[in-house]
Amino acid sequence: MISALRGVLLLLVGSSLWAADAANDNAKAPSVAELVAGYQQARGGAQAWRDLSTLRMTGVMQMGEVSAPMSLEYKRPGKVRLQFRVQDMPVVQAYDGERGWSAAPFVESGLPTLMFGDELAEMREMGDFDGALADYALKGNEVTLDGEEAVADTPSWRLKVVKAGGAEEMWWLAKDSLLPIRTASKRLSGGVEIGVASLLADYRAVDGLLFPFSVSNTIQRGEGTLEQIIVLERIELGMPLDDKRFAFPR
Amino acid sequence: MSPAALQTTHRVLTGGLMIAALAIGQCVVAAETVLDSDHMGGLRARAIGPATMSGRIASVDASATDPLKIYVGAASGGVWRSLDGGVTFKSVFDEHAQSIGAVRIDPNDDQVIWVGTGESWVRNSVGSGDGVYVSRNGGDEFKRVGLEQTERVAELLVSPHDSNTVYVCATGAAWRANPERGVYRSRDGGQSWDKVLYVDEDTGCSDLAMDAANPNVLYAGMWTYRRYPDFFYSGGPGSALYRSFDGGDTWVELSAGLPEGDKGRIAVTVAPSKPQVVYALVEAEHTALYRSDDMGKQFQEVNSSNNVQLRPFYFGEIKVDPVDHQRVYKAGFTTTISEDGGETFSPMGFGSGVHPDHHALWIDPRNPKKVLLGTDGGLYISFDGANNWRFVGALPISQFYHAAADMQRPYNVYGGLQDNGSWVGPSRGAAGVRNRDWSSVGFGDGFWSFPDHDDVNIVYSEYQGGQLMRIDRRLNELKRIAPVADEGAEKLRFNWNTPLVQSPTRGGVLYYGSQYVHRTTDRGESWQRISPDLTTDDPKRQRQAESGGLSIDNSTAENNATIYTIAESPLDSNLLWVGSDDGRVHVSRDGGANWTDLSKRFADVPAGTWVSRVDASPHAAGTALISFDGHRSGDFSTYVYRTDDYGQSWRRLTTDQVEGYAWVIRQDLVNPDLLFLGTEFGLWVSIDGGANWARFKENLPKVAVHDIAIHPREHDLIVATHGRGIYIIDDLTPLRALSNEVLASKFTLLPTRPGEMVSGGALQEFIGDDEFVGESPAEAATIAFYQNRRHLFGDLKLRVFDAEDKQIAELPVDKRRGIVRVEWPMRLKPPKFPPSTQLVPGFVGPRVAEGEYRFELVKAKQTLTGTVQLLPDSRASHSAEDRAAQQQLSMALYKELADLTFLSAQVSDLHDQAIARAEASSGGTAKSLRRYADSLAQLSGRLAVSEGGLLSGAEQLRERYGNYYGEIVGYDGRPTQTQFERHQQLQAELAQGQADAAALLEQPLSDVNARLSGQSLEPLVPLQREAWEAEQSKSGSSATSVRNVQRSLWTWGLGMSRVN
Repeated sequence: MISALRGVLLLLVGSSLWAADAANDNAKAPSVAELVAGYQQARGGAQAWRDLSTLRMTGVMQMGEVSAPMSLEYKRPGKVRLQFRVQDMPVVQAYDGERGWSAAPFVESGLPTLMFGDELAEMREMGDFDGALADYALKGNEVTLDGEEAVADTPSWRLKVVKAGGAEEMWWLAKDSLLPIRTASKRLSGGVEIGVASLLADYRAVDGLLFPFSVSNTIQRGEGTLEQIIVLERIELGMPLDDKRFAFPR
Repeated sequence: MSPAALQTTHRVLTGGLMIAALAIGQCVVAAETVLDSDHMGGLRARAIGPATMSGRIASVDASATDPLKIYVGAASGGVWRSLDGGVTFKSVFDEHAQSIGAVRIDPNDDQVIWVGTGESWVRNSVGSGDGVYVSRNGGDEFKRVGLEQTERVAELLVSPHDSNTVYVCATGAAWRANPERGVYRSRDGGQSWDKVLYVDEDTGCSDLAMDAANPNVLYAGMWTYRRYPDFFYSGGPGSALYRSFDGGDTWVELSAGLPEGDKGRIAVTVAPSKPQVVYALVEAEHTALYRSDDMGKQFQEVNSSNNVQLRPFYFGEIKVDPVDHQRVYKAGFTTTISEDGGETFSPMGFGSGVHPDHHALWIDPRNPKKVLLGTDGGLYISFDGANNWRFVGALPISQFYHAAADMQRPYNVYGGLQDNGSWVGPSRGAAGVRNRDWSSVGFGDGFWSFPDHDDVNIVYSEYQGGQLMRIDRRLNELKRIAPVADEGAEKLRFNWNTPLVQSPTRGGVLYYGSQYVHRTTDRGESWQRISPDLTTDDPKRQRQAESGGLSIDNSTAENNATIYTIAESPLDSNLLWVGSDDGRVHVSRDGGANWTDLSKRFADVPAGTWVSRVDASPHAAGTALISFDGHRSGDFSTYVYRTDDYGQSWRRLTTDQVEGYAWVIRQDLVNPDLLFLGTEFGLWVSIDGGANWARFKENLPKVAVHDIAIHPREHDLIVATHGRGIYIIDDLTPLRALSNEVLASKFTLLPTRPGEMVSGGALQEFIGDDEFVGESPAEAATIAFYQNRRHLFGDLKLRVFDAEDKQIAELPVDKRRGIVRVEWPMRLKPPKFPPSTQLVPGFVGPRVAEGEYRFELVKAKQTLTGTVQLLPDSRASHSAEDRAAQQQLSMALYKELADLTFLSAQVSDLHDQAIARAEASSGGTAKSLRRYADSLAQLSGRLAVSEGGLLSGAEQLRERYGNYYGEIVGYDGRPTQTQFERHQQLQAELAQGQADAAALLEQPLSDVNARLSGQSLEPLVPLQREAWEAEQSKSGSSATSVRNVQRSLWTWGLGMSRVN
């Protein structure tokens, strides 16, 4: 289930704020291009995000009744490192653009282990910290406007994303702000389908880019569900991050 | 765009949004905000089941290609999906009508699921449907595709060659004539429907079968039937068996060899392995099973044994083995099986413990020994051809008629269920509310059940037709206590669901209703008749003995002209209200000496409409609420009325906002404007005395709510559903404070009950996943507030402060609109631990002391302040001094663990500095640094394990402290003397570690720093406590409660053998 955390963390970076006249026009549904353009503008602008080389988010992750300090680091191109601590012992999952690995000192050998299969594919996907909507055409993602829906009593546009690899995601953008307020996705992990539905809130600006500082996730594995809350305390942009942090330890 | 420009844009946009928000807010206020469902979303209902007796199942199907996928259509509990062969189930139909007639998987695509709502086993208590639904993603989402007025569906078939061709066998309305019945066909996947077989508005489809070899060959049983409040009739000239050879375009009646004259319900099935063989179960004057070997051209009677003939309207399911056309299953009181084409039947395995009354069968086409069986008591699975059965304990589809509660801690919930007796179970449990936590307190079809006010071990319960018992739970000894007619007097008429009411103020005083009101003051030892006949006494309503039509079905289910509801005013024990099933309403203000007939004071209610409930107000003696239920007369309107003048005048309370006929109305015990209404389609709430209503949806399906109770001490709403068991909405206090004025506000604090610090917990047990476990309330104090729109921008969080005004908790807050509840676990953050390779039982912080705590609710720039009260567990025997001793020791350990963690961090940090300097230096300095680092490493090794995980046996001070901490925090009373002594040992060890560290920080450190200085290298600088704490505060973790910690850890893959 650790792997289920990764997908939801993508949301932390794939969301921001915009208020577009076109999107507020209830008489006519905006096009996908308009919605996504507005969404990118809302995030601080597509170029501002492209110029962003590194990103670190720190906060607390609460799952079930257990909580843990966590951090999530990104470095272009495609590097990502998720770490959370249990009783001050780090659990690490990372991807260096080529290889994914994980380590938890208190399970099994505790030695770093290379990932494969679904888990590796998920880490690779996680490395795209711009999210599925940003530059969707360039990435080969198909985006369609799937209708309107009130999510958590907020009128929203529902976007369906079919990624280049075939995976599907749903995004709900609030009509009045074009903020993503909900996302849902399904992915395979170890051959088992895991569904994640997320509610996003507590948006705040960091150096002109907007981030949700609160994400509430419902994670479904088979017919079982688990609730998770991520509360971010700090987001840093553009700081130096050594490539070693992402590389498989030798 | 430059950053400055970005920020400017940002401000403009944000400002625009704020203006828009203000405008919206003003509009809402101007239009007067009224309650809607989302306003109550923060008051989540929790299901406590039970699934131990489960409930009636109307239909079952499984994927032919992947038998692990099972779909169950519950009679009144929705649709359930299992993806693991029946180990676990999930409800997938909560937002739709819960009465299910048929559920079928598209044989071409097992992601396409068809559901026909409205059960076709039309017993007296059957629910109602509202059309046909389809899901194209395996049940994740359903969409209604029409046939809304069919009311009930017996069968759905999808062509195995064309997913767009779908047939619906619509039984039609039970309590009225309607033309929306017969066989419907869609050629476009449900976008449009053609009625391809229709007889008349009293005759619907009772069964539909398809030739497996040729889907154009169809057989349909058509059935004339009708239910009335007091009568049931099965049979008529419209009943017949039909066949189509052209996919339903044309039909011919099949009659050769079948009974002449009126027929009743007909079930039909085709042998999959030999489609020429057709079996038909035909209700008639002589009900029998018939067989045709030539596709229905000619039938022969093959069997009329008891199980074949019994209750044809209720037991109309026959199935043929997929590979053996001679092996026939006949569901009935039990399931009987024929191996010779129906000539003889034998019961399935004896002693199997399977609940009687069987309705649904599925036989695995690839492995015919695997059979699924749906009964009045849930789902069973057999792997040996129906000889031995495994009960599925994961389906909480229990069908309650009523609910009550006692005053135990935790309180228990009582209630009677359809064909499953009466049960009592706890409202919460340390490991959730388990099936085994429920105990039987009755028999048959259970209805009212509750304990005596003065002795919780004395329980009253009843079963159908007025059979009343008093049970001593200490012995499980029961005494029959029903009143009987005086010698020579008219026979007493008891309703199927006879009203049994306890005086709200006097133990041992009960009321029981026949056509008269009976009262006992000695727990049923003797009875006094305190009323005349309060019904119409209409002989036309007293035909139970003739009920059933072609097959007499005299089960008391149609007993009528009886009293159905009784209420004694909690403010005046002489004030009695009575309603009958034939529309009579009476009041007595002198304890039953005189009665006033109020029946004609309800202008909108058709005469004779069933009175479903009278609720005597707890606020004013002259106030009462009453609900009428006309569905048994074909009237689905919602009738609720209120009087404030002892019944002289009544005003209607319900509006078009409410859906479904009314089962129960209840006024809140504290707020007279707060009303709860249970209808066929859910729980409805009004906060303005009935002027407006909204459905309560959060985790409560659109299920029939037959009863509602309010716990007077806990302020919980107990909801008895007929199909989804018991739900509890914890703590109504915030809802009681929700007025229309509060709704119009933007951000308002709401009151809550004090938080109880529950002691104890679950012990080790591993029960697997195949059992439903009811949800317990969180181990938390609750803080509630209202916000008029969903929070999106800026922080929304809760801060809690202790008596010294020091912040002790900061919690994330739900962002939803309406009432929001925040749960504070009443604990500090988990303690700090030095890094190690082992987990120790320290995942929760110490409980805070009982008392009052101030909190701040921060919403962007607004802050609301309040207090919350924490109380100890009233069940626990710990004195205040003992609790304080435990709390003090817990806090001491909490602080010492922080000291240990700092010590470890300081030593490790210094060690790392020494190693780094050693690498940067050479010669004696490097050697000296390495020796110093070795000393630090040696000390560090005594503080925490650095190698070896679970079961390695490694243990250092951190592990000893952690295990000890788990012991102390896990018990709320005084620690043992041994534990106190153990604490002293650990303190001594910690002090020794600190002393050793201090020693290393003095002369040895000066020595190495002197050497470093000699080489112009930076000195080693010990980490200081202030700096360490500042860093720690940046990455704190939230307080958590004990429950489910272990489960959470396992789920994370961080399994360990021991947690507190």
